[in-house]
Amino acid sequence: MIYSLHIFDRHCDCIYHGDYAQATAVAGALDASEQNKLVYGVIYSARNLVNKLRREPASDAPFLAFSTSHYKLHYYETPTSLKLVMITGTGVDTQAVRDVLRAIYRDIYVEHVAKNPLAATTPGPSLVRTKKKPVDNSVPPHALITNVAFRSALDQLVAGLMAGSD
Amino acid sequence: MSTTKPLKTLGEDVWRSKMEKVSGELFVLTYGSIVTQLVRDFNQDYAKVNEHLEKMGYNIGTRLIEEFLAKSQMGRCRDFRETGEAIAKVGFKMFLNLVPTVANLSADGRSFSLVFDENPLAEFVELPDDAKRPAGTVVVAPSSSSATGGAAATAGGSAGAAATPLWFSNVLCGVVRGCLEMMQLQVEAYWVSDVLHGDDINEMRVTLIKVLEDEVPAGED
Repeated sequence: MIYSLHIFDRHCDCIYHGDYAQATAVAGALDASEQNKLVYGVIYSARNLVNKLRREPASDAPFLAFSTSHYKLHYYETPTSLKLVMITGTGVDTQAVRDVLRAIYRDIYVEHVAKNPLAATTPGPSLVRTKKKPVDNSVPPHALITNVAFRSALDQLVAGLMAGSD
Repeated sequence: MSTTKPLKTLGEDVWRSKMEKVSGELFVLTYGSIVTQLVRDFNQDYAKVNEHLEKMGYNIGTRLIEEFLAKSQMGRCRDFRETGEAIAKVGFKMFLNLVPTVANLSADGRSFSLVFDENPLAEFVELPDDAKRPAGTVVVAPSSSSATGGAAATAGGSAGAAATPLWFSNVLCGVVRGCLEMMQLQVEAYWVSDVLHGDDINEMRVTLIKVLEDEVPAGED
C-alpha cells in the first residue's frame, strides 16, 4: 500500500509530489504545499537528529525510515542532496522500499530529468551564503518536474508495485 | 550503500555492463567541430573559447553526476584523495573509457593532478602555432593570474608568445568542476600541460577551494 511520494531537491523545494492510494478525507486535511513543507520539516529534523545521535563516524545518510501506527515513511538521499520520500502502509520492509527509491532515482529521475536537456534542474549550491527569502507559495519551485514521461513512468512503477503486493 | 569493491573493478564493471556505447570517432569529431566553431565565433580569442568550453563542461557536469551516482552507487568519499581516485578510476572510466592516474597530491591533501597518457578528444587534432603555449612557459592557476586577460605567466618570454593558449579539452575541466560542485565541493580545475602544445603528457590540476554547506529551509537559520 503506497500512499505518496515526494521528491525534494538540494534547495529544500518540493519538486515532485504524487499521491497514490486514495486516502479517506481527513478533517482538517492540508493543501499540497503545506503538506510538502511539513514532510520536509519532518525529514530535515529527523535527519539532523539521527546524525547528531550517531556514535560512529559517517556512513552516508543513516536516517532510513520511521513508522507510526498508520503509516511508515521511508527516506533515501543521494549524495547530491536529492531526497526521495515514500509514505507507505505499516509493515512494509524498509530495505525493499529503499531499493525501489534507488530504482526510481536511477531509472526514472536520471533518465527523464537529469538527461533531459530541456528540463530545468536546480541550480548548483550557492557559493555565497545568502539569507533565504521567505517562501512564496504561489510560485512553483524553479525545478518542478513537469515531465510527462517522468510522471507516467513513475505511475506505472507504483501501479506495478501496488498490484504485486495485494 | 558504499561498495566494498575496489574502485578499479567497480569502474570496469559499470563501464562494461551499464553504459550505452556510441561511436568514439563520431564523438571526437563532433567535439572537434564544436571547438572549431567556437574559435570562429570568438574570432580566435582563445581565452574566451577556453572559458566557454569550461562553462559547457560545467553544465554537463552538474547533470552527469546524477548518472554517475545512479550507475556506480557510490557513496560519499572520505577525503579529497579518495575523491580523485573515484573520479579517475570510476568516473572517467565509465564515460570515456580512460583511466588517468592520480598524482602530485599536495601536502595538505587539498589538491591533486590527473595525468592522462592519451587524450582521445585530441586524436585528430593539430593546433595552429598561435594557439599553442610557447615552450618553457609555466602555467599558473587561472584564478591567480592577472585580471587583465589571464595571460599565462612566462618564465623568459619567447618571441611568439600567445596571449592565451587554447586548452583543447577544457570541457573536461568544467565537467570535473560541475560534478564536484553538486557534491558540495567547490574546486578549481585547469590544464597544466597538454600533448597538443608539445608536452609529453596531459595533466589536469584539481584544487579544493572550500566545502560548501547544505542549504537549510527558510526559517531555520
